[in-house]
Amino acid sequence: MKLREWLGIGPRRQRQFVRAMQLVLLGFVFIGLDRGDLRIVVNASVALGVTYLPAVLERDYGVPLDAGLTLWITLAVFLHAIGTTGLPGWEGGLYDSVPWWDNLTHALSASVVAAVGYATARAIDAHSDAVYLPPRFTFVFVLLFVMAFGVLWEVLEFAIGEAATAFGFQAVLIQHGIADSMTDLIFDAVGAVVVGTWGQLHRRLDRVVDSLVGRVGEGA
Amino acid sequence: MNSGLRGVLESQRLNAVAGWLLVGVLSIVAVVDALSGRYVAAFFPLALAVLAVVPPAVLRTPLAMLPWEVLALGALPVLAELLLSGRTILGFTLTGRVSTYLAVAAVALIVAVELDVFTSVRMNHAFAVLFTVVTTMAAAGVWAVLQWLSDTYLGTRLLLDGRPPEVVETALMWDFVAATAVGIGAGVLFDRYFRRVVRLEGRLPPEASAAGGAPGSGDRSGTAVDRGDGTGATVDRGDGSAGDGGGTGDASGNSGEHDRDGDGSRDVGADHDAEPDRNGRREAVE
Repeated sequence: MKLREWLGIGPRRQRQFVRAMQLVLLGFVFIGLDRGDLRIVVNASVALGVTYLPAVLERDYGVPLDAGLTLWITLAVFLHAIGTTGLPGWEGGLYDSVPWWDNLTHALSASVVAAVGYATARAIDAHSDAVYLPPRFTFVFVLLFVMAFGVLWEVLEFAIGEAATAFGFQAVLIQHGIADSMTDLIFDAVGAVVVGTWGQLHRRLDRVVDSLVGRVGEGA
Repeated sequence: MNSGLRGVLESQRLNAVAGWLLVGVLSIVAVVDALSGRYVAAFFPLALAVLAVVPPAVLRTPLAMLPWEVLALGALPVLAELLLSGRTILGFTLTGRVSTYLAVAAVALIVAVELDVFTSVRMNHAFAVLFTVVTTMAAAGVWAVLQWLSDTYLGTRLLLDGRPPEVVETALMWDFVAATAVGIGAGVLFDRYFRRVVRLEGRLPPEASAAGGAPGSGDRSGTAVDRGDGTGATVDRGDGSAGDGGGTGDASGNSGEHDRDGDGSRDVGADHDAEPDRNGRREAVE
């Protein structure tokens, strides 16, 4: 059973959701500007940029990311942006007021990163005769890929924090101590495992992989 | 050809001697650590020694040793601890995080090579390098999480060793930075190493060199890639029996013998080298 059928929403409704989230993100950018809050402006702007990535990939590179995949990516960055900005009537961002918000956004973003890792591995496998990655190995590789990305994310947060302290500007990403960092990594792994064990993944990404292989083939 | 072959043999023997010496040192360190109750410290040298013994054990020849320089890189923090015990050379702590993650990268490379040689996984150089970088970075994260979980739920003091939390956090973040930088650096280093070793020792079988072409396409000509899932993609074009199970076995058997004359199994890093052994073995098993 497809996730879409289970949720009962078609591609048209999915595109509407994406559009709505993009509008809210644009709103967040202005809220951030109004409050003079660099953290909100940067996070909302980057999130808004990422929501246009699927369309750009499709238009400029012919990589077909369907409405469902686009919704998935948009939702991940949208929940992160809400976390930093907050909702009307809430004091501060959801990261501060909802204890599990950080875990949710990490698992969801990790699932997107896992899909990227999976598509990359599948495309390399399909493109080169010298490479064969059996399903079990691919699963482990995707997990490692996500953990590596999690480490990179921590490094990014750390670097921004150190730079913010050194140059005296407001940090756009914040680290909340070691327990928080470790829980982030654990939920990254959870997201990766959920995606890796989801049987539909290969079918959903087949067209993406095919087009990636085709592009690599043209380039070579 | 003869002199070239002798050169390979001699370097193969030297390599095996150096490799076994390193395995010996690693085993002693692991045993001493374990006997003194330092189980966490014993893990890394033990794991490295076991990985090093896999090729000679499976191929049943003591000469099938990993390249000694890769093993030495993996043993770097252990050797430094043993010989220098924390002293620095030119201000560089060999037991520090940089050499630790260089060692992790070396282990990741060894795992990549052994997966390629001894399992159905097949990698080309580019993917092996990507795998090494990804695994080195991931190892830092997984290791930190495991230590933290152990500290939190089993009451150990691996990560939370009594220093102020901010100090521990900062030290851990520098570990992550080191793993990222060293992982990427090691990827570049290994990439050059692969190219140089392959070019210097002229390990490509003649038909592959004749085919020329791009690396990756030429690499596998003359050898059958047994995908193990029934697709049996055969790259051998000379024989015209692509995709058929019987043909696959034949082709690999022939090219296997041909390759075995040409080069030893010293350079396990160049995947096409070890392939004949693998195909030969698989045929014998079937």
